[in-house]
Amino acid sequence: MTGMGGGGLETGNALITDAFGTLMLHQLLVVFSLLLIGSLVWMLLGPKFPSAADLPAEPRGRAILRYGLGVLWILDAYLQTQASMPLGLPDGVLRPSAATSPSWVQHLVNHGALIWERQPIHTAVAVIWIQLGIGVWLLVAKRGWMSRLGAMASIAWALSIWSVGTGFGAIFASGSSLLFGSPGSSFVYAIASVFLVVPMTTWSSERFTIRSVKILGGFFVAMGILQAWPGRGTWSGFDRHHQPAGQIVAMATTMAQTPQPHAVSSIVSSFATFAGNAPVLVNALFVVAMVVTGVGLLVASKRSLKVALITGLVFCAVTWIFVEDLGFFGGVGTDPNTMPVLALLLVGLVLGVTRRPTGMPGGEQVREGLGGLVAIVFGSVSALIVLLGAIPLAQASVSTAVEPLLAQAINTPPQTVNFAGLPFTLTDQRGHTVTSTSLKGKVVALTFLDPVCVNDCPTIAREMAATDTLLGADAKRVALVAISANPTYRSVAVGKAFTEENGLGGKANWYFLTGDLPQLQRLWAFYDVQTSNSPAGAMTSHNDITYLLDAHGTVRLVFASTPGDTGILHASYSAFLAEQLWNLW
Amino acid sequence: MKRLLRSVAVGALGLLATAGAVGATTSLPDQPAGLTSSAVAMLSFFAGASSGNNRFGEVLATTGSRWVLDTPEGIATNGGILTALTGSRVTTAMLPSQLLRFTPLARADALGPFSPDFFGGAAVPAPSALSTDASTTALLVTGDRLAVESEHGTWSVRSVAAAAAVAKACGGSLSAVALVRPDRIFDGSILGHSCSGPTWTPFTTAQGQPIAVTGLGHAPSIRLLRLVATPTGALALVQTPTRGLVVLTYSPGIWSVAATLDAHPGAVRATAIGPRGQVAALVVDHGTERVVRTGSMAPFACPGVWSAVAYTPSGILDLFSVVNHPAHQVPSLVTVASLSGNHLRVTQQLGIDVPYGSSS
Repeated sequence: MTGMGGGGLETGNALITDAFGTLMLHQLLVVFSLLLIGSLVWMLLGPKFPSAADLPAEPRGRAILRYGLGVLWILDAYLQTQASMPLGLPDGVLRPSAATSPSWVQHLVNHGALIWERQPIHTAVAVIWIQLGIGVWLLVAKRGWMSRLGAMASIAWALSIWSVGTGFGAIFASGSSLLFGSPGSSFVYAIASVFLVVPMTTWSSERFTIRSVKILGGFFVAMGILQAWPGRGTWSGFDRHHQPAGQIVAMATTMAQTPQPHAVSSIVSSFATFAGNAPVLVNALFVVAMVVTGVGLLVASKRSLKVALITGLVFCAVTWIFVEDLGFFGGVGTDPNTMPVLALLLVGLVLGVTRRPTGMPGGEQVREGLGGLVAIVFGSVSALIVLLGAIPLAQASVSTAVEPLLAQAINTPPQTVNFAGLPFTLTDQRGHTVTSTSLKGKVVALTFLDPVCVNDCPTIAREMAATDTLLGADAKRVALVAISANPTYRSVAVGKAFTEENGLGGKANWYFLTGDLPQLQRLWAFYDVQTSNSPAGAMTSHNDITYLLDAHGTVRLVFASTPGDTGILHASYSAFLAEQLWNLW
Repeated sequence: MKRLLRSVAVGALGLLATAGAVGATTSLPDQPAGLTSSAVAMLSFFAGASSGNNRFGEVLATTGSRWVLDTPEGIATNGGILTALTGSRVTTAMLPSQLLRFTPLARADALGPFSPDFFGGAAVPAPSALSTDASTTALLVTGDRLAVESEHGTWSVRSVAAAAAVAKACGGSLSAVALVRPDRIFDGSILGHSCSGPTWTPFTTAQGQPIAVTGLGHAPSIRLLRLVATPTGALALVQTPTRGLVVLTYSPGIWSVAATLDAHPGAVRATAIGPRGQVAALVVDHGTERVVRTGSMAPFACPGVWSAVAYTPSGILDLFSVVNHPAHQVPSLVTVASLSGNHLRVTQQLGIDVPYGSSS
């Protein structure tokens, strides 16, 4: 799968995946350190802290929701560690999720994808820590404000994913269906988290718990009606050419093609065949399951809730396995889709009614405070883990800086060298003589460009202009030099035209150099630049290569500089070049 | 030294690519760039494309009856080529494309090597946007400007906003320039454009003063296909809904009808202007391709798909069939056939590697 908007980077690019793994391990050490410190604090303060044994027990439904959500967030964090995530997520998950949504939704998701694409490594690692932190937070903080704060963090992150990451779960897209994940797993995460934010005493309220299951029941009924609504393709199977024409068979067929273990794909594939041959039966069963579950929850009697629970869990399990294909295969699966968290919500809310605590005194906040020592210590550690991801993610979202490594990922890695540059006397675009000696005292980025080239060379020149901007005041210590790489079009005037064309006219440290052909040929040979004129209207061919010379005129670094074909890759090249120039001082 | 007769073929691929909708419409496609001289001929064709943004053009030259590829080297022709020829001196202008914003030029005498040059602005992508005479080059450039290079190699650029305003009032935009000998009403350059009304002034001076056209009557619209300088003035090929293809000649102060070609209302795929002012056009009329030309006025049936025509210096009409291959590095096949009288004979086939522009 091609990542980065088709910009020439494969999702499995070794340089990027290695860097991703390295950063992840480095930050994992920070996480372990935080956990260690937390454990020490807990051991030191434990004997002195009042016991939590007298505090009221957590309602069963809440506990199920809290533990379940915690585990799901940790599972999501684990899925984020997949090597394909840095380069694969934008085009493999984000943009496709909004592909059939209105343009404003696509615009929003594309904004998120661009943030990711600019800083794929740091962003991918940041998401791991946010989700891991929230998951651990929910697991360790049973009660009190620390628990509720964890749930608030869960809501905030889930809604962020739901909007920017999934295009609102495709609810604005045509053909959305609960079977396919609508309204989005992250939305259900957020809803489930809301029940953890409310004070624990609320769970003892019959009104609250009954209303909660009834709202969930209404949702199931509505989804059932939507599933049964004619004209949405839910009742269709294969067409006369035995191609998927119905929604369910199309979804199952697509999911069966996701890279996954053969046993799983063959199960989904078999279901697709069955659904294609008996679409009415299959859809009717799904509709009935949703409606029965919904009605059972709406009635909210003990018996109806039991029926609803069993029907709903079977519905969720069947949908999860046969239609959603467990949700996390393919290398860029970010969560197990909607059904597990929906099942969790169903169980939690039904237990909220059937195992409602009685006689829980009010004033939980007063009595429980922050929730006990474990909640305080490990909740705080979890919050720090969340911040370990949230801070760089926030920085990435407001910055236009691009990861310098991307440019190197499409080229060969830079080589460290150490040899004296070839002396020269050439003429710049202003008509001034420039010699290798006159450039001494400055760090030099030296490349070879064709002034009448139509693509790569102007791009590289513009990247040099961007590098100059990135260098800021330090740019005066740098010379950005291009030597003509065209044996035919190499006049001073055409170099000046090229300079102006690419916005370098006002750059005092930019030199487009040319000279007589023998001298240029000597320089091309010395710097391993192969130039040749091709017939039939092809431009002069030459390799894209850049050398960095230190202030003494010694060549220190050489790297291929194919600019790539996206703005992000171009910006990455500029960032990389600026970084390397800084390193040479 | 043996006298070499040189013919130049000009590629302007996008232009002819547009013309590919054979017979599907009566609207006229843009026409290939051209040149004229009392000693040379011309050809236009489309050599192939790697994508919708590329319009590779080629230059063909001939010694005697054999055509050879003679596209200037060291420069991409992704944007297409304009060519003008004065005597045996060829001037080519490579149209800007992709990130290239100015216009590289190449000049050559007879079969000599091309010498590189450039103009620092973007040429208008129209077939007749380049014109030369013995000492001067004129280039119509974007932004309603006319660039003129003196014999000393100095470019001067001036606004032709007044002429552009006339073109706009006429429903068109400036698309052609011809350098002619200065006369009592203008200073040596005629500008041209197509007209769809409400006014009807396809030719102006550089200052925007309309030049009268006689003998054409009042046409609802006029499409300017070619405008070239000739030793005696200038020649234009236009198409109107009522008169079809009409050859106009300019003598000081006025345009007049010189000939009418039997070619209406078909779509024009290619045009040729010969060394003695003969004009030929390849037209598609109700799905049938045929060549019409001044002099005989007789239509010629053309088997196969032919997309370009040319006059060799000897006056023989050459037809070119160009097969374009979209795949990388697959040569386009150019078939040359000579038309003499009513007889069409394949004389040559050239394979041309489709150029691809990446410099890396």
